[in-house]
Amino acid sequence: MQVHSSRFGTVEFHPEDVIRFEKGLPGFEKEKRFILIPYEEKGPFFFLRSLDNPELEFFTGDPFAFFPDYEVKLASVDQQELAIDHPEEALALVIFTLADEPKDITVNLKAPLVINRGKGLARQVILDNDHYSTRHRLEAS
Amino acid sequence: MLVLTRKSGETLLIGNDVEVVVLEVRGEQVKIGIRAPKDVRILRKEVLEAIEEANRSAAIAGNTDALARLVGGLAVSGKAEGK
Repeated sequence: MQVHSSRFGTVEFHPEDVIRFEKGLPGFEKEKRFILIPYEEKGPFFFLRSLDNPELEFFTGDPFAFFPDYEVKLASVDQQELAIDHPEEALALVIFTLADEPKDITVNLKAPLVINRGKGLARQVILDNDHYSTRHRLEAS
Repeated sequence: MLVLTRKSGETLLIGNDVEVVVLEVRGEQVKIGIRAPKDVRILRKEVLEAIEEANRSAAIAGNTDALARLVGGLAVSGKAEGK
């Protein structure tokens, strides 16, 4: 299967690479099918690209590459919905909000994306941790 | 919207398995206890709204310049090595 991307041209993907957000993401409830496109061959960044809306893309990254102490504690309801039995089955990514100046770039630590890649299930979960905000500045860390 | 008047210590039932208890009323603040099955998500509405808002501003549409600067900026901060 193929999807066109202005940044990468035509991107090939397999049906099993499709990640389903059954409820969409808050603010984007209609977009349910996404794929992850690595920004570089090796590295912590991925584009999360909608297959339902060609205009919709997020820039995401592996939070543990930036915040070694970051903790994702899944509520049991999230664990169930994602069919995660062991922590290793889950991939966590955080969404960056880009800005013209690097110092204005923020990252949403409050609501990471948790993905069960094996089963193709994903959800933007909300962590019950008051230390994490939706607009965490990178420089303050 | 259903509107009910309750006193401190009084309880509401929603369906068969959700219980809402008014624990304390002090001025403008109400302390509420909720007993619900584990598969019921309980959320402060403003948190969800903040996430919607953050997602909307994070959605990128061909903003490649900002992206290059982002990755550059992260690399400069020395945290983009991603071990």
